[in-house]
Amino acid sequence: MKFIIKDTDFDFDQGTVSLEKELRQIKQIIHSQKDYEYKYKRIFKKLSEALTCESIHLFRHKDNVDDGAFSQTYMWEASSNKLISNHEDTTHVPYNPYFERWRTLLSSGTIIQNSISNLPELEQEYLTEHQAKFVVVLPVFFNFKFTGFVQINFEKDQRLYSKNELTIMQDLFESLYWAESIDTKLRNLNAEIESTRHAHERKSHTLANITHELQTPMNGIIGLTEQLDMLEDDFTKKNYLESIKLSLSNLMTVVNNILDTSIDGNAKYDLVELKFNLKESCRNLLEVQRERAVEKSLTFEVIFDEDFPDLIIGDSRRINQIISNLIDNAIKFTHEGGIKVEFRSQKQEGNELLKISVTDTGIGIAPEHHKVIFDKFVQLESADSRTFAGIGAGLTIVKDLVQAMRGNVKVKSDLGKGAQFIVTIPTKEFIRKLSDLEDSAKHLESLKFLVVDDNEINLKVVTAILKKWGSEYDVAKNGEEAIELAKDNDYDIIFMDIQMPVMDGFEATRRIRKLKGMKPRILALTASILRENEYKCIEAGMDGVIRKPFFPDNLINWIIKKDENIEAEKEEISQEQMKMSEPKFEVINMDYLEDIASGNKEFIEEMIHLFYEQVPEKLSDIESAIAENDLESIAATAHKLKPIAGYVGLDPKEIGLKDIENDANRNGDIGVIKKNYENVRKSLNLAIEELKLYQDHL
Amino acid sequence: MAKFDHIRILIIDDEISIRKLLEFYFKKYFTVTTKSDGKEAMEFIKSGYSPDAIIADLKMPKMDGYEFTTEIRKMKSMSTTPIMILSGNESSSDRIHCLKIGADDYLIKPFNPDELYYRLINILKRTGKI
Repeated sequence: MKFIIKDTDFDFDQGTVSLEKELRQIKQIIHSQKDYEYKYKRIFKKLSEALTCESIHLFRHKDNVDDGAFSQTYMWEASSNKLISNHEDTTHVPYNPYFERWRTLLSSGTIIQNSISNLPELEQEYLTEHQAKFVVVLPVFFNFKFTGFVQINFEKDQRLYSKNELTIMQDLFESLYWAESIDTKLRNLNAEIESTRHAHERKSHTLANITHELQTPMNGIIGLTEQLDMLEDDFTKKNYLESIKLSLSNLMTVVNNILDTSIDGNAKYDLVELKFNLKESCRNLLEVQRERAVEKSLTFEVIFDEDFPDLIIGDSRRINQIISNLIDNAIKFTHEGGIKVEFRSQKQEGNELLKISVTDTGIGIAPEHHKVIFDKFVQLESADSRTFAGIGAGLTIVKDLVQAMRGNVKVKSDLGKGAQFIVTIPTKEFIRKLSDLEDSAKHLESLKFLVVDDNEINLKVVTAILKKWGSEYDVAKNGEEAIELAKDNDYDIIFMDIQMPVMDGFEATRRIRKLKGMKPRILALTASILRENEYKCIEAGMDGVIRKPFFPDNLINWIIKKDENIEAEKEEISQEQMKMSEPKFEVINMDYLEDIASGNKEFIEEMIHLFYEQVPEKLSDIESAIAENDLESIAATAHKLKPIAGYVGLDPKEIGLKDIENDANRNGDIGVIKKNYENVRKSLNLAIEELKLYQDHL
Repeated sequence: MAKFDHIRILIIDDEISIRKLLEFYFKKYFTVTTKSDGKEAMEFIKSGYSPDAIIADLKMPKMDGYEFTTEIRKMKSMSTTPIMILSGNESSSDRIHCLKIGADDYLIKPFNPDELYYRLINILKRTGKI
């Protein structure tokens, strides 16, 4: 773009055609295939040769600074032939006091050229430091905005340049600025596209792997169930059912992992610490794996240390998951030979260590891959990628679980030489005498339960477990019945469903607490996966939450938990809720509405609903007005949208709404309006998302 | 902030959310009636309703804030009723125009409701309504 050069206090001379031509040629440098540092250097050099000047300085205008300031981006000296970028002395020069006049002139598009001695004293004071006699200052505009200026210093007094010559110089720098910023934008955009593509690929991989993880136990269940029909021998049937149970347990672990992982990107494992007999708990699992190995004509050997304890303390289901994943992996990559699973216990520096090692004679893993195989959903890309294609989340889960148990996992392997995975988990203490465990079973017998659930099947599941324990129990179909029963009985433990007709679990709990105090432990059984509901349970006075579907182990684990552990857990849930109740929002800010509402949640809800109704309506109005090039409607709708966006804390200026209105009012470019509209739409949709989140915590 | 039940405020805005917002805020202090455009408000006033103060949006369908203010000022009974104009428009020419045709005050949306409250209270005090 060109600027009208005001003949303020400065004159212009007649130019020469040859200089004009020379200046125009310099512009070609911008279009060369070189980096910008080179281009700047070359342009400065050529320009100084054409003008015979001493130095050229490029300054960037800083608009966001209170009184305004500028910084030097490049400096070029003819004497040294050197380009200096971002000179540290001049990263922040305020216009005040030396350059206030320059700022006024330059930002209005005026070019300054003069002998230093003719300039005001204040400016002279600064410029004589540079030993310049004559100075030319060109403003640089970008996108109609004053973005900086070029200062050209001359050692000797100089003839005044012509308007034409100066305009060509100005054009040169503006073109350079355009080219560079477009180039930067393109580069950023490409990087963004690349990272989006990468994220997308990773997601596809993850999905494929998750599907795989789900398929494996599902196939087991389907296969076994189909055969169950044809079996006549009760003993085999029972075995099959055990296997199905195992597969279901695996399936649930996978689903839980997916839930944990997808919520905050990092798997969280709620580990329990219980005495259990590892030999017993993993017997089924090992049997299933043995059959799979035998099917592939592999040998399968299980070795327990001679003095391996009867009881260890830990999370049996999670430890089984580790064992299972390791053996899965071994069988998958072994085509001849066999698998050996070893269990050892070791005392080390006062700690008891449980060591599980799984050794195979499979294809092995090259040493350089030892680390990545534990990474989340990594697929090895190498010559052996085909054989590795099936590697999924199994080893990642092993690593995460072992880490959660404060243990470690090592791999010893080389290509073609088989692999050995060694898991070491520290445990608090081993109980080597079995008699200790009897207590907990006795304990269960002596307890009295109340089961509250409106669903027949759920009631059956829970009461079946209680029957097996030999415990005494009553059932209630809703909260009211529960309260009636609780009045006349002293229950030790109440299992409470949440959603029930007549009276829900929250209310029932509150009333039972009023009647009976803290005596009965109340445990919620819920299918909800929301952490928030857990908090509501605790708030209503329950002692804990178990998610449906659950296994008998989950119930026992909870029942034999110590009081202080329960308190600690409740505290944790409450704290988490505290964290959740203060979500951080990027676009919305509800201070304004909250202030007006002064505690009236219904009013805030109503305003949010109005926002949901009106915003999409207004957006589609703008969209169709853009399509019809109806500037008047665009302006009117944008105008109406402004305060609506405002009351949830969006700045109409910032999101581009104001620009739309202004542009539409001034018959502006529809392309620019469209672009701004995209921005507005995105911001408002984001606001809707955030409002939903906000409502959840209201 | 004091409560003045006897003061009747008429709020006119075509945007339901803004109307709700104003209504919710001001009914804590005054007796509030809302209308969704100038024409509706005008008909209501002509039917005999006489508010102690009016808060009106500028851009509205059927009858906008300018027209409404001009018409109101022509009515003898309403010539001194305080009118506050609310607009999403910052331009000083709009502001001046509103004051010129007889509006008492002009606030830019989004506004601080407390500010509007005190401005309103001050005008009402000056006009002897409270």
